[in-house]
Amino acid sequence: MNTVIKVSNLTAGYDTGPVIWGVSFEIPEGVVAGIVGPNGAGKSTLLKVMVGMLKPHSGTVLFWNKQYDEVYKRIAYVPQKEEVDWTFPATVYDVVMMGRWVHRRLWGRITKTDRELVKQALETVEMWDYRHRQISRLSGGQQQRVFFARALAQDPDLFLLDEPFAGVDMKTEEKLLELLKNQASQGKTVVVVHHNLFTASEHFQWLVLLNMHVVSVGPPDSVLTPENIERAYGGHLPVLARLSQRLSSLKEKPTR
Amino acid sequence: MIIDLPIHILIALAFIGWFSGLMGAILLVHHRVLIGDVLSHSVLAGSAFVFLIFMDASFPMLIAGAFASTILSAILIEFIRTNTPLKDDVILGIVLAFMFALGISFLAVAQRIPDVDKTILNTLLLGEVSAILPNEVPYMVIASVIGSLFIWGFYRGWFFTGFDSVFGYTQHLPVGIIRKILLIITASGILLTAYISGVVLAVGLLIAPALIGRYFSTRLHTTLLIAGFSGSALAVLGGFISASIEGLSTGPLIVFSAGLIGLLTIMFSPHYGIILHKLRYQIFKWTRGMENILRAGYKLLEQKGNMSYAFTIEELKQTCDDPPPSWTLLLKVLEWKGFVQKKGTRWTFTSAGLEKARHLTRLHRLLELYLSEIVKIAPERVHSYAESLEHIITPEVEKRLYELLRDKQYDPHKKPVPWNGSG
Repeated sequence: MNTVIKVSNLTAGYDTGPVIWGVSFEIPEGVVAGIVGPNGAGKSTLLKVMVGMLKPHSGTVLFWNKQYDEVYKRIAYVPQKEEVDWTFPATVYDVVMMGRWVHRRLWGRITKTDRELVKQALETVEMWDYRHRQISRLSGGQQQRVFFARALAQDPDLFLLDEPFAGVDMKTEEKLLELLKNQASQGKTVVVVHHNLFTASEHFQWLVLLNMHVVSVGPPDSVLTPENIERAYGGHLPVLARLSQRLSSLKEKPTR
Repeated sequence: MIIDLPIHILIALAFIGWFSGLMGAILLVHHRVLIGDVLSHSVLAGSAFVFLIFMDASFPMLIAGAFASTILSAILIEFIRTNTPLKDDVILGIVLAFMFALGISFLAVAQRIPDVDKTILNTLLLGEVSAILPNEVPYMVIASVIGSLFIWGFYRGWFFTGFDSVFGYTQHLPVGIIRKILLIITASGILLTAYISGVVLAVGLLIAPALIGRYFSTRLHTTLLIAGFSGSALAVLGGFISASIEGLSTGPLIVFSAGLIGLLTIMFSPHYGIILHKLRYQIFKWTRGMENILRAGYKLLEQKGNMSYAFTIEELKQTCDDPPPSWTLLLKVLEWKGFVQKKGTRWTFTSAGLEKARHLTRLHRLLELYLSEIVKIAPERVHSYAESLEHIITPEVEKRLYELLRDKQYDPHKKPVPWNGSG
């Protein structure tokens, strides 16, 4: 299996000191991978370093064995919904077109192909009928789908999503996940930062369990052992008890 | 009445108004309008300082001085912002107060200097378009055009800086540089705005057109266009009013008319206007009232066992659980719509009215069924929920409801669901 992301010995954080320490892991091609861990585990910090918004203290992140700066056009980053200004005067269509601006930059001409890709992206997330809708009049789930459409329009090989399932209902979550799995089956790689350990084993084919250090990496079965979860989430016994119960019941279930 | 407004002033007002509108719109969507206010208040300090040093009140000199002080303010704001944990309101407040105080002090000193023409300095404070000289207009037009071109040129940039800067950063778009460009455009553009509306009120000529643009459109380019045109129109309008009334400064008039129209926009705009919002609410209340009357009538006829029974308002009142805002008025409207007919003091349904009433009753009873059988709400409580829901159900939902419950004959209170009669 080809490696898409290779993080080596990464230490990064802010003025007050590192948040993640000596983090190393790899993510293979064609999977939906989750970066999972408790609050304050450094998931967002890790993602910020990966997309070059935060300089690491030490260590490297490589994509297809290259620096981020060389390949950023092939990587679509989907920020948390809360990070953007939804009152901005734009329609759904305008936002998805931003995905094409990645390639056309500030002044390049928008071609027929660009418009076609935007249309396809909107159709894929079933938001084409809403293309003239002002973005402030979308529900949380619709906002998330528009964001994902923008990522699709960019036509990338790697998707990085920051908490895409936060604040969306179960049905939207499942639908979005299906879209992500679809992309993975086409050979694209999807990395999702996710805080909900309970759904992690069902959602992802590859997991990075993080709590300032990497606790474990690999397929969910090998990562989500009681010992690993205890190491990542430490001490929260009621949570652990519920979780191990949940896990054992999951293992009895045939895979979906 | 002939209004004496020379053509060169008209041109200056139109161009500067247009540019101010664009600038205001961009600042508004970046939530940075107050920056404009701070920068305009800084204009005076530079202009007066240059005057004190060179004893020259010509247009290029004053502009150069003003530009130096707005840029200084911009740098000061950015410096404090990056080096202290202070919030924007504090930073902007302190820079505004400091620069304006400096400007007023310089102006006071300048007043004491005899034998030099310094009227133009005084007009800067509140704006006086009649002071614009024909030879200054080309500068103003060129500056406005260049500024507007910058704003249109960075159209995509505004999306990244205003809507989603993180995305911009990750895709190596020059977000930081575009933010600085916005500051520079504002610092230089505000000189022109201040020149016609006065430094104190310049922000009004930024905000009002921007508000109009924002309220009447949902996309950035239309917001910009509308803001530009309304900026132009407002500036020209203010110019005409001030030319027609002796002794009034242009600045306050431009900003007053701009502010007035801005407020009207907030009240009446189609999407977000307060008035229309209230009106829609009233219309909903009335529609709901009429629907309740029709349903009460149907229930009454059911009880009488006679679908052509003529009823009185009193009888209706006793049957209706959710009384409408006005019985007589709404019955009149229903009559006008052809749903009921008046015969003396009694009323009957027309066939269209009966059909409508049956439809509403069917919807109400199906909702009750849905709430009690599927949502599992106790039958004695479903009536009031259905009462609220029946007025807001869309045709798609209604169709689904029919499909879901098509074999039900009675509602939870054992009243028949009136399926017969078309949809």
